[in-house]
Amino acid sequence: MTGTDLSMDTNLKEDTGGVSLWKDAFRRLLKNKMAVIGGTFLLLEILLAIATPWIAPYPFEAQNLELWVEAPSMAHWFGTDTLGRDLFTRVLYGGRISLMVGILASLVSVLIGVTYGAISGYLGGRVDSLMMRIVDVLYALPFIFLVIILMVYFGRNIYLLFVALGMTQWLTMARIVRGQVISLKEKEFVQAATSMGVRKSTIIFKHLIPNCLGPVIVFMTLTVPTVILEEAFLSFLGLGVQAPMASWGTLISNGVEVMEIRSTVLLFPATALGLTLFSLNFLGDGLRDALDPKGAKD
Amino acid sequence: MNTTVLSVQGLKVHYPVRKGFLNFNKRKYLKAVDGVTIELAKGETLGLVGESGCGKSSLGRAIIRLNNPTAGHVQINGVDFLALKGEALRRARTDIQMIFQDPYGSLDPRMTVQEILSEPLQAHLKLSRKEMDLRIRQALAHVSLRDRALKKYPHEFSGGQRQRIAIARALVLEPKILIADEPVSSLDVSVQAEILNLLKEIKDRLGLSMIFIAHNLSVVKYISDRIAVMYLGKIVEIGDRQSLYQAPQHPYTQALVSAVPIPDPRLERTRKRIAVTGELPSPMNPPKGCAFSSRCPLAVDKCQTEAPSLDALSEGRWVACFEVEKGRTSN
Amino acid sequence: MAPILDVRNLKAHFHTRRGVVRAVDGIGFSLEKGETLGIVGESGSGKSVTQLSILGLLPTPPLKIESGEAFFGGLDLLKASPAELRSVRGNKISMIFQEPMTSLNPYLKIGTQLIEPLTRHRNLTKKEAWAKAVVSLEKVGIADAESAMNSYPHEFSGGMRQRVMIAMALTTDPELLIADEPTTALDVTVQAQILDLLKALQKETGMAIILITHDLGVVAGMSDRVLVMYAGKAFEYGTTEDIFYRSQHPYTSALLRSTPRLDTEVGSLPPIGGSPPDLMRLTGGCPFFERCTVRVNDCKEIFPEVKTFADSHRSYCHLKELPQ
Repeated sequence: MTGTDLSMDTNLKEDTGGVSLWKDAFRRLLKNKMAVIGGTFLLLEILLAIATPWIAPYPFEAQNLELWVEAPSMAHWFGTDTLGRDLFTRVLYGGRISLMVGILASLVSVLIGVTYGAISGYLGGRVDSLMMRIVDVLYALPFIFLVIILMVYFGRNIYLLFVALGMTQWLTMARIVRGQVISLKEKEFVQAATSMGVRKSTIIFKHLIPNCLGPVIVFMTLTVPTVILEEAFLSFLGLGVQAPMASWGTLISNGVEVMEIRSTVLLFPATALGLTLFSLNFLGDGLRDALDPKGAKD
Repeated sequence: MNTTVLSVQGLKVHYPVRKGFLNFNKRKYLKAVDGVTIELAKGETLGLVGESGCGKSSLGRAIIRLNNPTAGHVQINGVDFLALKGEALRRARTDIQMIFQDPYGSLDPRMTVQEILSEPLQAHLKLSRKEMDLRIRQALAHVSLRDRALKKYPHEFSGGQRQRIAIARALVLEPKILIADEPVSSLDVSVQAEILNLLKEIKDRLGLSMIFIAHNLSVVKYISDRIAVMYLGKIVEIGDRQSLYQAPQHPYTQALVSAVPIPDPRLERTRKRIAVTGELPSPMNPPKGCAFSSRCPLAVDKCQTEAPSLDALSEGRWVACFEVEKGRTSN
Repeated sequence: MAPILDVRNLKAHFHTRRGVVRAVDGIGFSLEKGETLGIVGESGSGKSVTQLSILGLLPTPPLKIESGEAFFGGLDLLKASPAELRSVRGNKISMIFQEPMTSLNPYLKIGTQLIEPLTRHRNLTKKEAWAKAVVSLEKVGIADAESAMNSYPHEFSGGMRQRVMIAMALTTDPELLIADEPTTALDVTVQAQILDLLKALQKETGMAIILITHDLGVVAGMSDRVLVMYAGKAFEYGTTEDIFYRSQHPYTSALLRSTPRLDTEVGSLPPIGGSPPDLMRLTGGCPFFERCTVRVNDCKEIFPEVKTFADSHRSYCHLKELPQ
């Protein structure tokens, strides 16, 4: 046996670290130009959002009614809005809210959806049928109205907004994860774990969920823009964040009002939102390709 | 006689097959395993051969309870394995471990070898880090892999090396019985011998018992002490490996043995084949009587209506065939 | 007698994003009318790519034919136009594959698929083609050929489908049949039936067969000549007896020794260490170098020149003679 050791080891890659599939996928992601640009842009935005309180040139609620919808200038880079507030500051703060809503609500949806889907798929049989029928019923409800009712009933609360929006998105996530888990369950490594007497909970959390994270991440990059848009829609209806706080949605809805007088009031927040959505989509595409095991072969 | 470590009695695995949507009454069953009785002695390797669809894999999986047997008994070291439930079943699984066919599918691609090998230990034993490390390194040494493999992921290994990792995983819990389900059939021909030798050597060194399931008769013969031949969910013949190949009794075994190509041109060209016509009937709709009757060159009327039982022909040799029995009694 | 297919120094490489895969690297063989050539190799040895590239069945790029000739009749298949290739493929050269289900269209009746090559290549009317197809089906041992013509592929079992594939390959009376692992997906009793059928049909029609397989036993029973391939290279070529009894290549003989056999009793098989190399990372030397027990210094850097033994027995190894 010892004679074979030499040749066996030469087949291993030289580095002793070991390359996980995640690292491998990340390497492939870096080769995708659009995804890298999108990712960098998003990273920058997140950093800006975090730093906003320190870098914003004006307080977000500071009004100056003499400067009513001013054009962009050196003092006000993006101009001012209908209450004479600095639009650059408002767009920065708006991004903070929109990104937070997008990311947190998506995380809520992932948390619920992944757990629900994984349990349903793994247990299978009647439990699975029942859990999926519940999802079907919830699908049939017009969820955005449920959110509106919640917001009206409990008052406008930003945390409730995260949860409510997350609740609208977890259904699809649950279905995706369930499908993945059902196909993974047939894989021999899961059967091997079962036959070794590994606990069910361990199988779900150590084998099933990590192996369906790829599609989950991809779907999350698509959930974030959906949630941002939903929040914008709610804001547009006056049910989003509370004034004087702003999100891109409220800024756009304000901008629409004065669109014909000063288009920049609409243009800047709309562009910020648009670029973010594009970036998320490019990143999502890139991630999908990078995480696809078929792509790993060539 | 050696001590029996595993005893399977009258094991049946029937899968319900739904026929149409509202057809509750006419439930059809796919009889993957239909009344199998085998015993495995300590230190023995029992080969299980048969063509695809004969139920050999279902039998292996039923023994290890990856699918639920419909009827029958499985005793492991005297304990009724099928009666166990929940936590007791989980605990009892340490004694019997499985090696799967596809080393690409049987290892979680997102785990390092270290994580793969420590998983069964964590599930059953409360070991210190040091003890665990020791056990893992021991298992790795059993399969001649180096310690630096621990940090790597399955996709960084070749097929043969992965199968070694899978074998190491089956060994960390120090089981008494291994079930190997086609462990070499997805490997390159030039790698198979090494894995076969490894399994043989480990089994001897650790005093394990093994059920080796494969469709390749040459491979089964190389590794097994005794061989059971399966056809449509039933065992048609059992015997020790040499006599089974030299003097197959059941017409199906005879056909099978004569159909296996031998890599020796002069011999291969002069061998006599026992031709069987047709193919394996659907297990959903097996022939009445003897399952092999539809293809059997010796079949008589009785075979169409009555199923022969597996009867002892001589010491250690069991055959399920009316014609063979008749031959014996008339002699 | 002139060979019906003569392949010389075929090199077919895949140019992928990650680098060049030398899938076929200097392969040569020839076969005559009525002869069977067995091509033996493991997965990744290039045995299938060899045939597919000769028939122009692989997309270029990524595949590129780097060099070589493949004379079939007077035509060099490697330089032939797509139209010329089409007139040869499925006509004078037919193929059957491992999984017949993938080469049969599940939505078309067997009959429709069987008469297609006849109406295309032979200009037969539908009626004539139908009659000829029925004869073909009868020839491959399908009882009640008329009703089989009106069936769909899924109505047949694996072995029957392979018979249909063979019938389809034979309708045009090909001079050469390329069978790529034709029995690998079948059970051994059915494999025996199919191999016997191929032999009988060959005797009757005088066609040549290229049998691609990883199973040494199948080759032993079927082939007149054998080509042993490994990692895109030809390792040994000769008559079946040369290869099985007088092998001059360490890979061939190691493979033969390490294969379990039904007829002999061995305590322990001598295994071949290691595993086949990654085609991306081949050096200029012999690809078997790392696993070879009789390697010499040159093996690592230089791929050996051909050595000719009796008749057409050729081996590619640095050793003058293989120690027994």
